[in-house]
Amino acid sequence: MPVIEASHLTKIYKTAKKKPGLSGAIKGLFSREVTEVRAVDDVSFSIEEGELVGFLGPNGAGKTTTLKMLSGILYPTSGTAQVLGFTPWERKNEYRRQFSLVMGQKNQLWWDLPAQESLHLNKEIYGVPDADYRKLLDELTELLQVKRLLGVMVRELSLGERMKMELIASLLHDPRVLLLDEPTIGLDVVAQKNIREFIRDYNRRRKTTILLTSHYMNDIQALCDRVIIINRGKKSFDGHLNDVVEQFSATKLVTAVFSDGGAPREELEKLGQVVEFTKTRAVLKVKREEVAKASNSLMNKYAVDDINIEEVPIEEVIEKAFASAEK
Amino acid sequence: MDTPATVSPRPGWWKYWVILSTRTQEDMAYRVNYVVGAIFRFLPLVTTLYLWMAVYKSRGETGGGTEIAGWTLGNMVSYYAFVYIARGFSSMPGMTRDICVDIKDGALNRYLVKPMSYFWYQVVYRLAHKLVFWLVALFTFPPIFWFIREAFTHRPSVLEVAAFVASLFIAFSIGICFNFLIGLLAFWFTEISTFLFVIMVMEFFLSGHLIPLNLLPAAAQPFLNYLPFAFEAYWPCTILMGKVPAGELGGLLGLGLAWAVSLFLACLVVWRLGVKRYSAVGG
Amino acid sequence: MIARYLHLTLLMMKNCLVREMQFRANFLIRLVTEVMWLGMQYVYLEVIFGQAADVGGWNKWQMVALLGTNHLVNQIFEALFFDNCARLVDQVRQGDLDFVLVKPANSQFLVSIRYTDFASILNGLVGVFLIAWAARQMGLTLDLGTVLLYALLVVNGVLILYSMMFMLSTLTFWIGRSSNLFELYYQLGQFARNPAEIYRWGLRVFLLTLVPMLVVSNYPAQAVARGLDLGHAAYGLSIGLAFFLAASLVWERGLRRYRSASS
Repeated sequence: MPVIEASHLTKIYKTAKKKPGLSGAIKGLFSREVTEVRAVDDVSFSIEEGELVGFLGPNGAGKTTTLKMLSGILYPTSGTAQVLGFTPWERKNEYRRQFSLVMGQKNQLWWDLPAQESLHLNKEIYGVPDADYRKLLDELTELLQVKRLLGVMVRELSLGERMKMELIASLLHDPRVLLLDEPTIGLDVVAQKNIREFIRDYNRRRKTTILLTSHYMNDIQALCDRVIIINRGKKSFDGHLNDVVEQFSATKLVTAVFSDGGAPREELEKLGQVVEFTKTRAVLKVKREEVAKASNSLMNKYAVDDINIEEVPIEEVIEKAFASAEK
Repeated sequence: MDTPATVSPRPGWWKYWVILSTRTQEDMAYRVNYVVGAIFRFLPLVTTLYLWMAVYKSRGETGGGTEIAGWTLGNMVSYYAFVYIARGFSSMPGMTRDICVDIKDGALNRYLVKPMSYFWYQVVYRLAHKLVFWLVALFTFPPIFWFIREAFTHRPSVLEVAAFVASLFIAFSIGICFNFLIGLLAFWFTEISTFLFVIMVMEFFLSGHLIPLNLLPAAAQPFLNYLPFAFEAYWPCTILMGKVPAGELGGLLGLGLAWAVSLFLACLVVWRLGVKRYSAVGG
Repeated sequence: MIARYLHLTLLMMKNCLVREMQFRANFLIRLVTEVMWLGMQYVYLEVIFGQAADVGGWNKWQMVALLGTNHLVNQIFEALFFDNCARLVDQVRQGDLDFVLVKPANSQFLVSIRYTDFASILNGLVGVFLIAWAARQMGLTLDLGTVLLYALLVVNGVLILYSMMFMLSTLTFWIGRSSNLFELYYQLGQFARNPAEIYRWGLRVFLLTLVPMLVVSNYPAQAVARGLDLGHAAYGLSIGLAFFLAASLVWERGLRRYRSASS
């Protein structure tokens, strides 16, 4: 029984177009043109307990909108979804007690209170028993090394520290589902790493089902085995991250280090697309099927010191994957 | 060949027009809201009407006659209706607050650098605001006034109408200059929101907006009647009602004009002093 | 469940109080400004009663009691709900309600009780003083029953104001902006400040039913100053309840149109 199940989720926004200029404004008093935006278009997927799934896509792709429908914040235009057996947008208290939403750069903690008080207020709203609360709070603040910051006003914390507090706030009631929207956005490299490790650890230990959206490849690579790619509201891929590469990357990168003279450019161009070229080193983009042949050819014909075969950087692959959904 | 003296389009006027049209666009963007607000503005008039009807009725029943301080019920209702017209010229909602914010946030720098006086910017800004107000008022005022037409028992003479129009310009000038002046206090004081409120209450009361000044204790009247605030509502209304003898109109308007000019000069002086302080402090 | 919401209310109030205590001067300033405003209203009454003996059958001290009651009801409303209603307009417009909606507590409650303005509560006490003074001038002795009825009707008045203003704030879901909230609140407030008897029957019925401003302050004031029969009291309370239910309904419908802010 999947923990999260989405079926043909669609969200269409209607916006009124404003005409420019003064005459347009006067006309606007009487009539308005309406345009439709399909933020989420017929998206379906299902997620089992304990999975850590990444939603990948460019800005405005519809990942966050999907997440918000699963949180019950938005009503879909059509389609259904079940999370933990509940329909999210009915917003039943029993459902809301079992999941958490964390949004990068957005605060749910009351801004003008010390972190401790903010967390306490959350505890009361979620009805967490005192003993459990204290134990979890201790544990989590230790893990994330923010114990000393509990007395500090939320607005005075750095972005990274605030994000850690937000995570703690979201986990104090031991949710079964955790929805993370761009959790590392705007953070420095160290903070990003810390939070990623924490999330991965948490998922392994508690078997919490985690859905994560990001447009940072690093987040997805570090955390998610499974990736769902969304672009322009449509789902274009659902599977293992490695399979993304397989499916969307038709080429591999062959790097050859030469001794003694190197190789003529025209010859290399017969094997594949030349990306870099010096007397001592060349990087070629070679079709997958021809990689073995090409490397053999190189080693036989020229004085090759070292040969390296890599995947095309995943960012490039993802670009292609995004582009493919734009049909 | 004779080259006529070329009159280049005056840049001064053009930029003010841009401000005017942009501001008007902004106001119109909130259409439902604005129109609804324009209608709700008259709600207090309804209460006032019924209140005074009850007062006059009670007075009549106890043998007090049909007049209060020489005004009939019709007069009283006319007064409160005319107050809407007068205040449509003299009230400057949010002006002092805007100026304080501009000064505090250092947005003033823009105006000190560009060749556009901040004062005239405010004038044009307020003018635009009033333009939209009166544009909408052209539709909302007539039905309301028609509804209470029985109250308008006095037919104003040409002289009285002219004096009324003049008093409206005076009211506008005094409104702008006074609010500008108060706003400039932000150059010297940081927390003046309470003071602003006190001033607002004062202006509201002393303009005759709440109670016509002739109903206040006789001892205070010689003083209150000739403050600049009285020209923001009380005098324009009473002029149109024909309650000011023709012979006194000239002197009255003269006083109003004197106030307007004095306040304007005060604005210039205080502005200069304020800017000096502002630059010195390093805004 | 009520205990839980009461507990949450007190917790949030405590936080607000702690914050406000930092601005002690503010309390005094607010008091001064409200007293000024009230003073002006009193002068208005003095002028009127210098010219007539009663207004709609209400004499001067009964009117003062009405003034005080109106002040009390308004201050309590402003202390508990007005700010929150105003903030709600922005929250709806900017799509800032996300975190309110994911919490396992009634969202209307969370949004309405978030901030408490303690300075207004202090000001409300001035209203109580006015009522007590007026009662004394009228030579009234108030028994427990009347006081309780008064308190109940005051709470009812606050509930009506809250429901009305809340519904107006919620309109933002449909018309994008409700900036006239402040203005409307003050304009409508005019009607509550005066006796029901001055209005012609058509308007009076309107102000007792669809926009029950007359129930807000008139009813409690009458309970103390002129006597209010149980029939009217029951009616007043049921109107309060009806409006409260309506507010909840409108809120739920509004949420369907909620557009969260884009990230």
